[in-house]
Amino acid sequence: MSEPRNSSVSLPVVAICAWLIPGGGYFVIGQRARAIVAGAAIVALFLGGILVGGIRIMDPPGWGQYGYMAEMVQRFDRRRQQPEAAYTRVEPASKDEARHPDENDGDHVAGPALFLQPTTELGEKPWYVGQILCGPITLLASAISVNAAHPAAGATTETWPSSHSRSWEIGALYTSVAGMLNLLVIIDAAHRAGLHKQWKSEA
Amino acid sequence: MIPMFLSYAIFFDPLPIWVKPWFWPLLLLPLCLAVAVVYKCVRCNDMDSVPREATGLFITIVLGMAVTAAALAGLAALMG
Repeated sequence: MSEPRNSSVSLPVVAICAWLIPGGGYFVIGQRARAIVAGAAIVALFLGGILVGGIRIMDPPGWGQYGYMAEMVQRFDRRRQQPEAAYTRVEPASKDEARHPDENDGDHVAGPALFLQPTTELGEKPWYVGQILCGPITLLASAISVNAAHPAAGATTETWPSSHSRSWEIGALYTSVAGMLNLLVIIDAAHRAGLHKQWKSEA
Repeated sequence: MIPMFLSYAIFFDPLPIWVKPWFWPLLLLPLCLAVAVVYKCVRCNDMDSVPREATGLFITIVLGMAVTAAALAGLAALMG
Protein backbone atom coordinates (compact mmCIF):
# COMPACT_ATOMS: atom_id res chain seq x y z
CA MET A 1 0.00 0.00 0.00
CA SER A 2 1.72 3.17 -1.14
CA GLU A 3 0.59 6.20 0.81
CA PRO A 4 0.13 9.68 -0.60
CA ARG A 5 2.51 12.32 0.67
CA ASN A 6 1.83 15.97 1.21
CA SER A 7 4.90 18.02 0.29
CA SER A 8 3.52 21.41 1.28
CA VAL A 9 4.26 21.00 4.99
CA SER A 10 7.54 22.31 6.36
CA LEU A 11 9.81 20.22 8.59
CA PRO A 12 9.29 22.26 11.78
CA VAL A 13 5.51 22.03 11.36
CA VAL A 14 5.77 18.27 10.91
CA ALA A 15 7.97 17.98 14.02
CA ILE A 16 5.65 20.17 16.10
CA CYS A 17 2.55 18.27 14.97
CA ALA A 18 4.33 14.99 15.73
CA TRP A 19 5.04 16.19 19.29
CA LEU A 20 1.56 17.65 19.84
CA ILE A 21 -0.22 14.42 18.91
CA PRO A 22 1.68 11.11 18.70
CA GLY A 23 1.57 10.14 15.03
CA GLY A 24 0.47 13.64 14.02
CA GLY A 25 3.66 14.18 12.00
CA TYR A 26 2.83 11.28 9.70
CA PHE A 27 -0.73 12.51 9.44
CA VAL A 28 0.21 15.95 8.11
CA ILE A 29 2.49 14.45 5.45
CA GLY A 30 -0.38 12.24 4.31
CA GLN A 31 0.70 8.88 5.79
CA ARG A 32 -2.48 8.26 7.72
CA ALA A 33 -2.20 4.50 8.28
CA ARG A 34 1.28 4.95 9.73
CA ALA A 35 0.03 7.84 11.87
CA ILE A 36 -2.85 5.85 13.34
CA VAL A 37 -0.83 2.69 14.07
CA ALA A 38 2.20 4.47 15.58
CA GLY A 39 0.07 7.00 17.48
CA ALA A 40 -2.24 4.35 18.90
CA ALA A 41 0.69 2.22 20.05
CA ILE A 42 2.39 5.17 21.78
CA VAL A 43 -0.78 6.46 23.47
CA ALA A 44 -1.75 2.92 24.54
CA LEU A 45 1.67 2.39 26.12
CA PHE A 46 1.46 5.76 27.86
CA LEU A 47 -2.03 5.03 29.24
CA GLY A 48 -0.88 1.52 30.16
CA GLY A 49 1.83 3.06 32.32
CA ILE A 50 -0.71 5.21 34.13
CA LEU A 51 -3.00 2.18 34.50
CA VAL A 52 -0.22 0.10 36.09
CA GLY A 53 1.30 2.77 38.32
CA GLY A 54 -1.61 5.13 38.92
CA ILE A 55 -1.82 8.76 37.86
CA ARG A 56 0.76 9.79 40.49
CA ILE A 57 3.59 8.32 38.43
CA MET A 58 3.38 11.63 36.60
CA ASP A 59 5.67 13.55 38.89
CA PRO A 60 6.70 16.81 37.20
CA PRO A 61 9.97 18.45 38.23
CA GLY A 62 9.47 21.45 40.50
CA TRP A 63 6.40 20.08 42.24
CA GLY A 64 6.50 18.51 45.68
CA GLN A 65 4.93 15.42 47.19
CA TYR A 66 1.66 17.22 47.93
CA GLY A 67 1.25 18.73 44.48
CA TYR A 68 2.40 22.28 45.23
CA MET A 69 5.34 24.03 43.59
CA ALA A 70 8.55 23.73 45.60
CA GLU A 71 9.98 27.13 46.57
CA MET A 72 13.51 28.26 47.38
CA VAL A 73 13.54 30.09 50.70
CA GLN A 74 16.37 32.01 52.30
CA ARG A 75 15.98 31.48 56.04
CA PHE A 76 16.75 34.20 58.53
CA ASP A 77 19.31 33.07 61.12
CA ARG A 78 18.00 34.59 64.37
CA ARG A 79 21.13 33.76 66.36
CA ARG A 80 23.39 35.64 63.96
CA GLN A 81 20.67 38.11 62.98
CA GLN A 82 21.39 37.69 59.28
CA PRO A 83 20.04 35.66 56.37
CA GLU A 84 21.57 32.22 55.84
CA ALA A 85 23.90 31.98 52.87
CA ALA A 86 22.29 28.84 51.40
CA TYR A 87 18.75 28.62 50.13
CA THR A 88 16.45 25.88 51.41
CA ARG A 89 14.06 23.96 49.19
CA VAL A 90 10.60 24.02 50.74
CA GLU A 91 7.79 21.68 49.63
CA PRO A 92 4.44 23.12 50.79
CA ALA A 93 2.07 20.54 52.25
CA SER A 94 -1.11 22.61 52.07
CA LYS A 95 -2.66 25.48 50.16
CA ASP A 96 -1.80 27.88 53.00
CA GLU A 97 1.81 26.79 53.01
CA ALA A 98 1.91 27.16 49.24
CA ARG A 99 0.75 30.76 49.62
CA HIS A 100 3.23 31.51 52.41
CA PRO A 101 6.30 29.25 52.16
CA ASP A 102 8.22 31.68 54.38
CA GLU A 103 7.55 30.09 57.75
CA ASN A 104 9.09 32.74 59.96
CA ASP A 105 9.42 36.51 59.88
CA GLY A 106 12.55 37.50 58.07
CA ASP A 107 12.57 34.52 55.73
CA HIS A 108 12.81 35.48 52.09
CA VAL A 109 11.09 33.52 49.33
CA ALA A 110 13.40 33.63 46.33
CA GLY A 111 10.98 31.92 43.92
CA PRO A 112 9.95 28.55 42.54
CA ALA A 113 12.70 25.93 42.63
CA LEU A 114 11.88 24.94 39.06
CA PHE A 115 12.91 28.37 37.77
CA LEU A 116 15.85 28.95 40.11
CA GLN A 117 17.52 25.55 39.76
CA PRO A 118 15.92 23.83 36.76
CA THR A 119 18.76 21.40 36.14
CA THR A 120 18.73 20.19 39.75
CA GLU A 121 14.96 19.74 39.68
CA LEU A 122 15.10 17.89 36.37
CA GLY A 123 18.09 15.85 37.54
CA GLU A 124 16.03 14.53 40.44
CA LYS A 125 13.31 13.30 38.07
CA PRO A 126 15.11 12.39 34.82
CA TRP A 127 12.33 10.03 33.69
CA TYR A 128 10.23 13.13 33.00
CA VAL A 129 12.47 13.94 30.04
CA GLY A 130 11.21 10.78 28.37
CA GLN A 131 7.63 11.36 29.45
CA ILE A 132 7.43 14.93 28.13
CA LEU A 133 8.34 13.70 24.64
CA CYS A 134 4.81 12.30 24.47
CA GLY A 135 3.52 15.86 24.12
CA PRO A 136 0.61 17.68 25.76
CA ILE A 137 -0.88 14.40 26.96
CA THR A 138 1.98 14.38 29.49
CA LEU A 139 1.19 17.92 30.61
CA LEU A 140 -2.48 17.03 31.00
CA ALA A 141 -1.66 13.88 32.99
CA SER A 142 0.79 15.88 35.13
CA ALA A 143 -1.87 18.48 35.89
CA ILE A 144 -4.29 15.74 36.96
CA SER A 145 -1.56 14.10 39.04
CA VAL A 146 -0.66 17.35 40.79
CA ASN A 147 -4.33 17.98 41.62
CA ALA A 148 -4.74 14.41 42.83
CA ALA A 149 -1.80 14.94 45.17
CA HIS A 150 -3.39 17.85 47.05
CA PRO A 151 -4.51 16.77 50.54
CA ALA A 152 -8.26 16.90 51.09
CA ALA A 153 -9.60 19.55 53.46
CA GLY A 154 -8.48 18.73 56.99
CA ALA A 155 -6.28 15.84 55.85
CA THR A 156 -2.51 15.70 56.13
CA THR A 157 -1.86 13.10 53.45
CA GLU A 158 -2.26 13.14 49.70
CA THR A 159 -5.73 12.39 48.31
CA TRP A 160 -4.21 9.82 45.95
CA PRO A 161 -0.86 8.58 47.28
CA SER A 162 1.79 7.72 44.74
CA SER A 163 2.53 4.08 44.10
CA HIS A 164 5.79 2.48 45.17
CA SER A 165 8.25 -0.19 44.23
CA ARG A 166 7.59 -2.11 41.02
CA SER A 167 4.19 -0.53 40.33
CA TRP A 168 5.81 2.88 40.21
CA GLU A 169 8.88 1.68 38.32
CA ILE A 170 6.90 -0.11 35.63
CA GLY A 171 4.46 2.79 35.25
CA ALA A 172 7.32 5.27 34.88
CA LEU A 173 9.10 2.91 32.48
CA TYR A 174 6.05 2.52 30.24
CA THR A 175 5.40 6.27 30.05
CA SER A 176 9.07 7.12 29.51
CA VAL A 177 9.48 4.51 26.78
CA ALA A 178 6.28 5.83 25.15
CA GLY A 179 7.90 9.26 25.04
CA MET A 180 11.15 7.88 23.62
CA LEU A 181 9.22 6.01 20.94
CA ASN A 182 7.43 9.25 20.11
CA LEU A 183 10.84 10.90 19.66
CA LEU A 184 11.70 8.17 17.16
CA VAL A 185 8.43 8.85 15.34
CA ILE A 186 9.01 12.64 15.39
CA ILE A 187 12.44 12.20 13.82
CA ASP A 188 11.15 9.75 11.22
CA ALA A 189 8.18 11.94 10.26
CA ALA A 190 10.46 14.97 9.82
CA HIS A 191 12.93 12.83 7.87
CA ARG A 192 10.21 11.56 5.53
CA ALA A 193 8.91 15.11 5.00
CA GLY A 194 12.46 16.26 4.20
CA LEU A 195 13.06 13.37 1.84
CA HIS A 196 9.98 14.21 -0.14
CA LYS A 197 11.03 17.85 -0.42
CA GLN A 198 14.43 16.67 -1.66
CA TRP A 199 12.87 14.40 -4.28
CA LYS A 200 10.62 17.23 -5.40
CA SER A 201 13.51 19.71 -5.76
CA GLU A 202 15.56 17.16 -7.71
CA ALA A 203 12.64 16.48 -10.02
CA MET B 1 -9.32 -8.43 49.03
CA ILE B 2 -12.91 -7.56 48.10
CA PRO B 3 -12.95 -4.16 49.88
CA MET B 4 -9.67 -3.29 48.12
CA PHE B 5 -11.24 -3.91 44.71
CA LEU B 6 -14.39 -2.03 45.63
CA SER B 7 -12.40 1.09 46.44
CA TYR B 8 -10.19 0.76 43.37
CA ALA B 9 -10.24 3.79 41.06
CA ILE B 10 -8.91 2.99 37.61
CA PHE B 11 -6.01 5.21 36.46
CA PHE B 12 -5.75 6.76 39.94
CA ASP B 13 -4.86 3.75 42.04
CA PRO B 14 -2.04 1.51 40.86
CA LEU B 15 -3.19 -1.75 39.32
CA PRO B 16 -3.19 -4.38 42.11
CA ILE B 17 -0.81 -6.63 40.23
CA TRP B 18 1.12 -7.66 43.32
CA VAL B 19 -1.66 -10.08 44.36
CA LYS B 20 -0.42 -12.61 41.79
CA PRO B 21 3.38 -12.99 41.66
CA TRP B 22 3.29 -14.61 38.21
CA PHE B 23 1.78 -11.45 36.75
CA TRP B 24 4.98 -9.38 36.91
CA PRO B 25 6.78 -10.95 33.91
CA LEU B 26 3.64 -10.52 31.79
CA LEU B 27 4.07 -6.74 32.03
CA LEU B 28 6.98 -7.19 29.64
CA LEU B 29 4.60 -8.09 26.82
CA PRO B 30 2.82 -4.72 26.25
CA LEU B 31 6.15 -2.93 26.32
CA CYS B 32 7.70 -5.30 23.77
CA LEU B 33 4.59 -5.09 21.58
CA ALA B 34 4.60 -1.29 21.53
CA VAL B 35 8.33 -1.16 20.77
CA ALA B 36 7.93 -3.71 17.96
CA VAL B 37 4.94 -1.95 16.38
CA VAL B 38 6.42 1.56 16.52
CA TYR B 39 9.84 0.40 15.34
CA LYS B 40 8.36 -1.41 12.36
CA CYS B 41 6.14 1.60 11.57
CA VAL B 42 9.33 3.62 11.30
CA ARG B 43 11.33 1.03 9.38
CA CYS B 44 8.82 -0.36 6.89
CA ASN B 45 7.99 1.65 3.78
CA ASP B 46 4.96 -0.50 3.09
CA MET B 47 2.43 -0.42 5.94
CA ASP B 48 0.91 -3.72 4.78
CA SER B 49 4.03 -5.53 5.96
CA VAL B 50 3.98 -3.96 9.45
CA PRO B 51 1.73 -6.58 11.17
CA ARG B 52 3.90 -9.49 10.00
CA GLU B 53 7.20 -7.72 10.66
CA ALA B 54 6.07 -6.44 14.07
CA THR B 55 4.90 -9.90 15.11
CA GLY B 56 8.26 -11.35 14.17
CA LEU B 57 10.12 -8.66 16.09
CA PHE B 58 7.81 -9.05 19.10
CA ILE B 59 8.47 -12.81 19.25
CA THR B 60 12.20 -12.23 18.82
CA ILE B 61 12.32 -9.71 21.68
CA VAL B 62 10.28 -11.91 24.03
CA LEU B 63 12.33 -15.02 23.22
CA GLY B 64 15.54 -13.04 23.62
CA MET B 65 14.39 -11.80 27.03
CA ALA B 66 13.37 -15.32 28.07
CA VAL B 67 16.70 -16.82 26.99
CA THR B 68 18.61 -14.02 28.76
CA ALA B 69 16.54 -14.52 31.92
CA ALA B 70 17.11 -18.28 31.82
CA ALA B 71 20.86 -17.81 31.29
CA LEU B 72 21.08 -15.34 34.18
CA ALA B 73 19.01 -17.63 36.41
CA GLY B 74 21.32 -20.51 35.54
CA LEU B 75 24.39 -18.41 36.26
CA ALA B 76 22.94 -17.30 39.59
CA ALA B 77 22.15 -20.92 40.50
CA LEU B 78 25.72 -21.98 39.61
CA MET B 79 27.24 -19.20 41.69
CA GLY B 80 24.79 -19.55 44.57
